Amino acid sequence: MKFESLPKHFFHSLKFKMLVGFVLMFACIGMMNWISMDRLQTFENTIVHNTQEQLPIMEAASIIQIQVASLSGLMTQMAESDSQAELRIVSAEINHLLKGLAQQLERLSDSKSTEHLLAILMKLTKSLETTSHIQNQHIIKSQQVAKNIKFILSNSLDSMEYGSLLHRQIWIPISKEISLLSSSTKLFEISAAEKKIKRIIAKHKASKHLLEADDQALLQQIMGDVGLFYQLKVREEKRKELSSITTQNQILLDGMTEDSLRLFDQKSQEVQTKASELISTIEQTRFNYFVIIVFGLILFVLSLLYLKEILFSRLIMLSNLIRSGNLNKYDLQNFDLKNEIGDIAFQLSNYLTTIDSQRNQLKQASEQLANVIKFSKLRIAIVQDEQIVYHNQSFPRLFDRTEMRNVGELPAEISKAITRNGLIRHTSSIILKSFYSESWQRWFDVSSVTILWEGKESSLISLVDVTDRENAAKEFKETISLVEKESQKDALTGLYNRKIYASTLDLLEQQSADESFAMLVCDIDNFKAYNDSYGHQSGDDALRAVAQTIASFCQHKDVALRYGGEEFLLVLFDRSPEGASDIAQRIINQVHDLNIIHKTSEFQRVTVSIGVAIKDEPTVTHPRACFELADQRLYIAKRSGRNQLIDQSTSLELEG
Amino acid sequence: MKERVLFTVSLILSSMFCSFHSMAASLVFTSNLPDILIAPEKPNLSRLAGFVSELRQGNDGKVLFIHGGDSLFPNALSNYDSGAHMIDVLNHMQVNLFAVNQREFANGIDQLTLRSSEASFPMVLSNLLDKRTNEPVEGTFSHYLLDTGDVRFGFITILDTSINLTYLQGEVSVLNVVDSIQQLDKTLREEGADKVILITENDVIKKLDDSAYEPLDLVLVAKEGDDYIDTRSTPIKVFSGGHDGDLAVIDFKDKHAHASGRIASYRDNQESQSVDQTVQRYIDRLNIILEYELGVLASPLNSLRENIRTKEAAIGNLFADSMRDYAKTELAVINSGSIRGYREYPVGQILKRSHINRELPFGDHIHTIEVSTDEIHAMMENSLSKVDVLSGRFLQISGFNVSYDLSRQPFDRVLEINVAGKPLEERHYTLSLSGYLLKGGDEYGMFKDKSESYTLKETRLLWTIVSDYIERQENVNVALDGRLEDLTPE
Repeated sequence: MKFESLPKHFFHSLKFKMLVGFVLMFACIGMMNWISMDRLQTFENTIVHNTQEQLPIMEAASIIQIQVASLSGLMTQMAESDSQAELRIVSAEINHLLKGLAQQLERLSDSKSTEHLLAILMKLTKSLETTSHIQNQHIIKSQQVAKNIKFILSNSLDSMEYGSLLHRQIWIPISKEISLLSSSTKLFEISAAEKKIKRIIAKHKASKHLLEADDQALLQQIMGDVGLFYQLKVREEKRKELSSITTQNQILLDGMTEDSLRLFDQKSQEVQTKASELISTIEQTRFNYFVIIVFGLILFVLSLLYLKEILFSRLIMLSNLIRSGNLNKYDLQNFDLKNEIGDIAFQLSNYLTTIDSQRNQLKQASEQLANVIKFSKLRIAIVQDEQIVYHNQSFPRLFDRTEMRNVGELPAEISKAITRNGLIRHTSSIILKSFYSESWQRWFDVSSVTILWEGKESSLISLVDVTDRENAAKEFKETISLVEKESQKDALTGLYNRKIYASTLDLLEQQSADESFAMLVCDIDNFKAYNDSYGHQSGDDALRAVAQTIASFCQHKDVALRYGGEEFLLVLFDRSPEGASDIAQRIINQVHDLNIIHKTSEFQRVTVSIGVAIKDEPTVTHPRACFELADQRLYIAKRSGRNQLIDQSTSLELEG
Repeated sequence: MKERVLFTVSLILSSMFCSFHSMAASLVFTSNLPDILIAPEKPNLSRLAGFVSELRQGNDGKVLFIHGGDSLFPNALSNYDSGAHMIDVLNHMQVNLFAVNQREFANGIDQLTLRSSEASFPMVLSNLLDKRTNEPVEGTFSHYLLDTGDVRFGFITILDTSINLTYLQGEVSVLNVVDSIQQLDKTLREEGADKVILITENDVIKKLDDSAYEPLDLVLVAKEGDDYIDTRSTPIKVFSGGHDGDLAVIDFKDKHAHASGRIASYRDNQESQSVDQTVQRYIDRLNIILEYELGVLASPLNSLRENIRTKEAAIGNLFADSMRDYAKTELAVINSGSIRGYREYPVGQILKRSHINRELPFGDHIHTIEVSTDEIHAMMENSLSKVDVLSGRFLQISGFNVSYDLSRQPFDRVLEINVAGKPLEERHYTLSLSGYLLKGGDEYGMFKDKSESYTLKETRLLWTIVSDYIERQENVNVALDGRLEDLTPE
């Protein structure tokens, strides 16, 4: 039973599903490629950015910090320098460093931070110039103080060396305080010392020793308006000023340090952040890759499993079912009839159903045919290698047998024909025509065609009763012959007409050498005059009578034809030369005896003249030459008085 | 305004006339001076110096300017120079004697020694020994004599043992206070002191019995807040300090007379030109750094003590958030004692570096450590243990939430600690904090053994990190978000 096809859509098909699977896999590959390219581009951008922008700034910031640290050391050295030469050296180094700092700042990108750093540097530069100046003055003042202390101590010692005990009592403590002052820098220490000396002076105010000019001068050197204590205080002022400006410089420098550190930190954090982002994206990318790969693998496995389920296993199932030759509706339930496999199964099922039905039909037909063949009157046999492997019942009966096994059991004619022709392929061929069965008195054609019989090429020999055909053919042949003849016959006389003349000559050309013939060329004497005298109708009658007379002498293969108005040719076969001449004479006699009145003829009746030639005559090399010879002899007959024949002998006589 | 100035000047002059023409000596005492960047209309150093200068006019040598300390740090510039500029200004103010107080140790012992070498005045510290040398702190005097001509004053300075908990973590030995007073009093008198004066801090006064002061002639106490004179005891105690524009003037008629004191104001005094010029030189040179604008406030900030040392403060959130953002830690804490601006910032205020410098003057670095759940609990319990006395240990936090009940006993006040809405997990958390806390300052001993990290991040000062954070924001909008939730029943 055939099954109805289920409605299908494109997305049901295996092609679609496999396409989806492949598309997904390609999408996975595509995505991985895209992710890779994207990450590579990001890496490249980051590296380029870091290399061209971030790192140079970080390098500059690092150098700035190093330079600032060096500057800080130099500033301290400047503040502590105690010689002008050292001060100049340090100042020069500071200037050089400041220029270096300016250069590094120029490498930094324009930003609020950079502007700020430049502004601080400018202030610091000016401040350091001032610092150098103040320190220079401080050094000068320190040198003046040291010089003064040295002078005072030297003079006081001289004074003590040569003075009295009281003198020493005054100057020793004063000298002690003065000598301590050389190491004292603090104002309160200076003030304390000054107070002590003032107390000593006040205590010994009245002493005449202090009234001496040298003492007064020395005291003036110590306590005067521009004396030692004044110098110490001025120096202290400078020191305070220096301390103040140094503190401010240090603050500015710390500000620069902090700004450059911030810049470095910022850039460092930017680089780190970017790196972290990249790392996290690497993690993410790695995860994405992992997901895609896992997804791809799962997809691949699922696809395989799916294919196995819907394609491979179905194909195997289908193959087994096909092999079993059974594919029913229950089996079809295992297939998805909406996809190609199901469709194939469905189609196969229908085909198998069709095949089954056809097989049954065929079987039935075969059986019927076998019965037909078996019991019909067809005479059929299957021949393999000269063995008759099958025949129907009618076949051996023809040969008066009930069973035949071998070609040799057949009549020799038929067995030869079979053996001679072998396997005839493509079409059936008659290998023996018109076999005549004596026992049945019937004609048979034996035909053979190659067929496959039980898988082997075999000859199907069939004998077809053609008796009717033969008879019909004979009749037909005769009829045909008759018709042929009729068409080649002269309508008036009933003899062959001129059309047969050429074919007759051709036929004579094809004859074998030992077959002889004679040609009698006949002509009605004075026929034109007869026609003129008696009319055409009488003329036709005369022609008809002469033609009949001539035709009456034809036997078997003999040919009588009217090849001209009143000319006739008679071709006689199997006659001797005398016989041919004899016939010619008889024709003359019978025409004469017809007694057809012809007043204008010397014979008063219609007569004929005949020229006779024989194939065997020496001058006859071919049939046309025979005709021409006969025709010449006719002419001779006409010249010789008509109503006579001229043959070879007569001709010789005349020539002789 | 002019009339006010004239009136005040005449009052002062008249009081001086009344007081001074017969005084053998006068002492001007204050402590915790305003820094050089204070607004000119507020009581500032120039006006203070002007006051002293006026007192000294015609009485040079008889007026001694005694400084009670707590002035070198913290201030707006101490981040940069560890107080060197204050020494410079004090030098110009002609301070006669500087009593070293606790805050002078904010940057360590050695920075103080350096400052002492720059000072034109003696720095006195009597009862601390550097454990490294077992000697008094280098550069300081254990006692000092100042002679006005008529009176010789001997000075001693005593600090409380809490120094080892606040600024120095066990780096100094604190000698017995009473013994030190008695010994030094004896020494000074043997050296010829007519009057022996103790300069100390309020923590010492709280702990000492009045009998400890008996040999002394005067006690000067460095204390922020209202200035006053306690005449109930003998000797009298004079409390002065802070940025309130007041100071104390103590007079001695002669070397035998008792001290008599008064609180005077220098708020409206004429400024000292030399100090003003000195300060102006700093401002002019350092404006480029200090006036750097960071951002505009979109919400108000308040760094007053009673605000930041008792509850969640927006400014505390800002600072703690900036630490956490910079160090990329899960948690961050900052002790409110680090925040020293003590002012309010209205909406629209342009925040400058000088503001942040003043708020975070201690120049501390930040560190990243890992802490356990127990340590976080202990940290917060310590934070909440002395809220009632406005202890600077109160922490402002970031990255986590704490709910607490102050009615409970100290170290049992934490109710809940959550991170991202969930209770603390049994794991370590990364925490960003200052070096001060890491060393165990304010009794945060749980951090003492934590290892420090040494990366670029640790080289930067806290105030710079906060400045950067503020600068990155277009508008500084800091809100209270309940990260410190006070569930104390009312």
